[in-house]
Amino acid sequence: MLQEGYLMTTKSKPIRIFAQDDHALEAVARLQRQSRAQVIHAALAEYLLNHREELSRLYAETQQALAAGDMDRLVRATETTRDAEVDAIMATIPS
Amino acid sequence: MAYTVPTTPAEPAWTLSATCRCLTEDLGLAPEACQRPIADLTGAHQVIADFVKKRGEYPIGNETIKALLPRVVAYALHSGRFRAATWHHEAAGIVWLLAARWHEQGRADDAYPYFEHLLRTGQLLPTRTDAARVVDQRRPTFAHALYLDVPRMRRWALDHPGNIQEGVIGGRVRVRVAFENGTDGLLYVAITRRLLPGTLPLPLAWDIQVLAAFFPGLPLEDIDYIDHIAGHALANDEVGYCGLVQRDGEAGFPTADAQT
Repeated sequence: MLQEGYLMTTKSKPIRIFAQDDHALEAVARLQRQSRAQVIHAALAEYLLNHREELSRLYAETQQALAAGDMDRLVRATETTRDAEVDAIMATIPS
Repeated sequence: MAYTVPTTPAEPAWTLSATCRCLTEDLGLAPEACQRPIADLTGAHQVIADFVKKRGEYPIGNETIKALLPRVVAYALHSGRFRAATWHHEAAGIVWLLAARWHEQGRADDAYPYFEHLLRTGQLLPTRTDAARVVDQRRPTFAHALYLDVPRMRRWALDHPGNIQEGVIGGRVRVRVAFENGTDGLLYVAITRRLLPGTLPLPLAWDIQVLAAFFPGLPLEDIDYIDHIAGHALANDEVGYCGLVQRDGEAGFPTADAQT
């Protein structure tokens, strides 16, 4: 399930990550004396825990908009993802 | 064996856009023009027409603007006596028209010193509002693709158990999908963690929307993380999900009541 406890306890193989995250991940893993997979799982679990309601709402809203074929509603549902994308773009503009 | 199906509609490999400052201050357009796609403004100024034509064909030019290096690798665009500065913002998959001005070498108000002045004073590069405008223009494409492409990919996977199908939803999110027709009937969705076009990481909320489209009627809590796709390894930048789906595949979309 998409639940933090499940993630932490039942998966044995590492979740794949971006190659460019590799060095940072290694450093964090050493610092916390954990495996790389444990670090990734913990990060995902923390994110899911902190955003569970928001993500569940987005999931349900998207399903309902698709079921109704309501494009305007579907576009509005993506509002949640808008700011994150803008943030990501701005982070890559030279300061 | 993997199959690739064309998906439509889709974002192009790079998006053309202009900073609002450039459109209004350099090219004299009304502020309302900033809200329109740049392709709709080609009749408003020759610089825009040349930008759309040339950078639409290839995202960079032949001549870097040395005064802006090393901070920004911008390219000069020649448009009659005008010179424009364009920047291929690779991470975001955007080619920006940053500035434009009349070019007359040796004059104080020549284009190139002007570009340098804009950079030095923090006016050259795109603002948050500029970035948000591009994001807003891309959003409907992705929404339509969720509605049009995902059911087709899902149907194909259900009709071809054991085969992996690849696609790029709306030109934004690369996915692979497969159905394993065991007693339980598992639908696998592997999502590449990059937001296309460009190289930005894919926010988790995008996964959630893709999953909502692939698993109509299935609660989010019933979707699992998985480290393979139908027994095949994930790519290094993929995350795998799976959920139980009946072979007929059409459990039906949930009603509003069922979701609340």
